[in-house]
Amino acid sequence: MVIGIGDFRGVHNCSAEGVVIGGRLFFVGLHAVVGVILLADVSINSTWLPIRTLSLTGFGLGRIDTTLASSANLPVFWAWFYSVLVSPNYSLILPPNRECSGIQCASYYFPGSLAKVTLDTPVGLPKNPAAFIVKNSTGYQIDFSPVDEFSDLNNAICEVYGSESESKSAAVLVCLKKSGTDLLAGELITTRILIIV
Amino acid sequence: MTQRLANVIYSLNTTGSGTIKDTSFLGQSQVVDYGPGDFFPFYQIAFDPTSATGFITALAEQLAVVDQYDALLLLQQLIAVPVAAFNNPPVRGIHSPEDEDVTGVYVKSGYQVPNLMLPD
Repeated sequence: MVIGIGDFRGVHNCSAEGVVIGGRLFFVGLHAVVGVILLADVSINSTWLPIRTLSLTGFGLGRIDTTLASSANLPVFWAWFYSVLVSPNYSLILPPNRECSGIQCASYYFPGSLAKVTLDTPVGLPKNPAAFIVKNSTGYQIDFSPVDEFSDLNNAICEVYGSESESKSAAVLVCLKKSGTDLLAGELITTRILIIV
Repeated sequence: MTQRLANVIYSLNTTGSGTIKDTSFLGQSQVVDYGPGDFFPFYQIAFDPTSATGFITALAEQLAVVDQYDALLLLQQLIAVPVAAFNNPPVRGIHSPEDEDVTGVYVKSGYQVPNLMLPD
């Protein structure tokens, strides 16, 4: 009889403990499931926290000013020529405004260079700000795409430039044509190099 | 060729200060009416036969050895220079009339977790 009671109590105790453990596991699992459901829709976005705002003058770009050509500095032009598209300080690659595919398609945005702005460190500015954001700046985007036919350049305005010497001569033909709102361009460059032995 | 407003993010890291990182806003594109007359005055200076001999021959020699893709890139550079370099804000330091409210903001980087409980 005593043994029977003991067995009964033992069975009863095991069952209760199992229910408690099962309940705990259930809630642990429930927390995990609820956590996964909640976190599955959470995104962490990088953002910029403003520190100090300045008013800028002379930033951005304007229309091409042909009156500046007379005072254009030759080395400056060629320095720009070899850096304007490849330097991340001057241009940003953007998706083109019009559909275009292939390696001949390219689109660049020119917002202006930060080098033209005097960034005096304001008093109270924390050291090492990560970035400087210029707001409402005017820039220009150029979409390059191949011409459909070379004959599209018929009736283009062409200029020939060249240099000639006894040992080396070169000629550059640049053709431009306005077509609707597009500007068509072509180049042909020949060189004659005389090697003197 | 189009004109468009933007909020432009420039890096101030010592290793890449002035690098254009991205744009946080890009406005609508507005077509700009450029023609050959806007570009040739600069090419006449760039290809001046008396003073630009070295540049012309260097360009010709470069084009003699590059493929069509690289040649196209050189033409793109030729088009881009007047647009990016020769206009009033960078040269004369004056705004275009439409650029009166240009501001610059020093920023530090951070992270943001959108509040799921708030409606968009």
